[in-house]
Amino acid sequence: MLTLYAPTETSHEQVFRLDLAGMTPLPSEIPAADDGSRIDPKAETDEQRRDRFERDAMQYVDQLYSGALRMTRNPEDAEDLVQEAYARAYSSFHQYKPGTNLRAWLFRILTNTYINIYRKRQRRPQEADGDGLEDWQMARAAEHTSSGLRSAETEALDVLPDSDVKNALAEISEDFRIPVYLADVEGFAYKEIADILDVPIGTVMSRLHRGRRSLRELLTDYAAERGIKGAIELQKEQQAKASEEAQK
Amino acid sequence: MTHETQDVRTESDRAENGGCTEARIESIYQYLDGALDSADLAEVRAHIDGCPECQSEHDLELIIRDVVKRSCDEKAPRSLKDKILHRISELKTTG
Repeated sequence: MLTLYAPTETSHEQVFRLDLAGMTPLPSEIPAADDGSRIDPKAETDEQRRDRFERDAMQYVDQLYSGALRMTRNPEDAEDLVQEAYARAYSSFHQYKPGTNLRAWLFRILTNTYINIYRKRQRRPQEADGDGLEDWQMARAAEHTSSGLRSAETEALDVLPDSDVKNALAEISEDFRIPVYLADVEGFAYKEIADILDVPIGTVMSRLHRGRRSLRELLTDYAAERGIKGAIELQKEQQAKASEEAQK
Repeated sequence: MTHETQDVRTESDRAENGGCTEARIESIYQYLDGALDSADLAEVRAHIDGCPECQSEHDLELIIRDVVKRSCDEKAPRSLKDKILHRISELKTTG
């Protein structure tokens, strides 16, 4: 009877074959569209290419626009930048290898377009080099963690208005802001960010580290301010209530 | 971790944090970024579970990422897509 439970050579083989069959392809192997990887860009007509571009690339307009807003920090320039990036992407779409990461490819073009054109004639003055964070501020940022944020501050952080968060991001120098955006909002891996920005992975990691520290410092300041304002308003309310009661 | 993280572990950068350094914080970032291999992942996870400072660091970082993601969810103006389509319709890409 025991032999029934003992795995035989055949069952091993079967399991192995099943595992192989059930294997999911790596993300890089998943075609962008249904039959994307079988397309031969060289054999396409203009019309076919435009259709493919519209179908595969245009779905990322919102994401590229949001990325462009982080770069240019104003809506007019962001719109121009996205338009220009899409025009360039379309012009070199025959160089894009179907089945590879199209979103990362588009972000790389967006970044290059920004660097080549918009950075030179930015409407807002370019900030000084560095992340605007002094060493004492880095130490302060670390203090937030050792003492632990007061719960009111953490709560204020959680409900911080979008405008505060965008302002905080805009205050960080772009060398740090763009990697943070690509990692935290777009969810790109270090390697992908390195490819998009054309810098080594180590540089991506150290910029992310410093960018996140800066962002935290700014956000906790905003949150503390809002937390204090909230507390003052509550105090005023209570005082008004108390004087109302006293007048009765 | 890898030698690439060395540049964030300089002495001037080192902030004592209940015995946890900037390098520890970097490992929390990498943990949340899904950038650790399974051995490092288990080590960092175990440390976070046993260290209140790193636990709050981890939680705070999660809140920040959440807030940032939520705030940067802009929609492009409706007209932008049309402008792009119009512009590329005037471009030729094949010989």
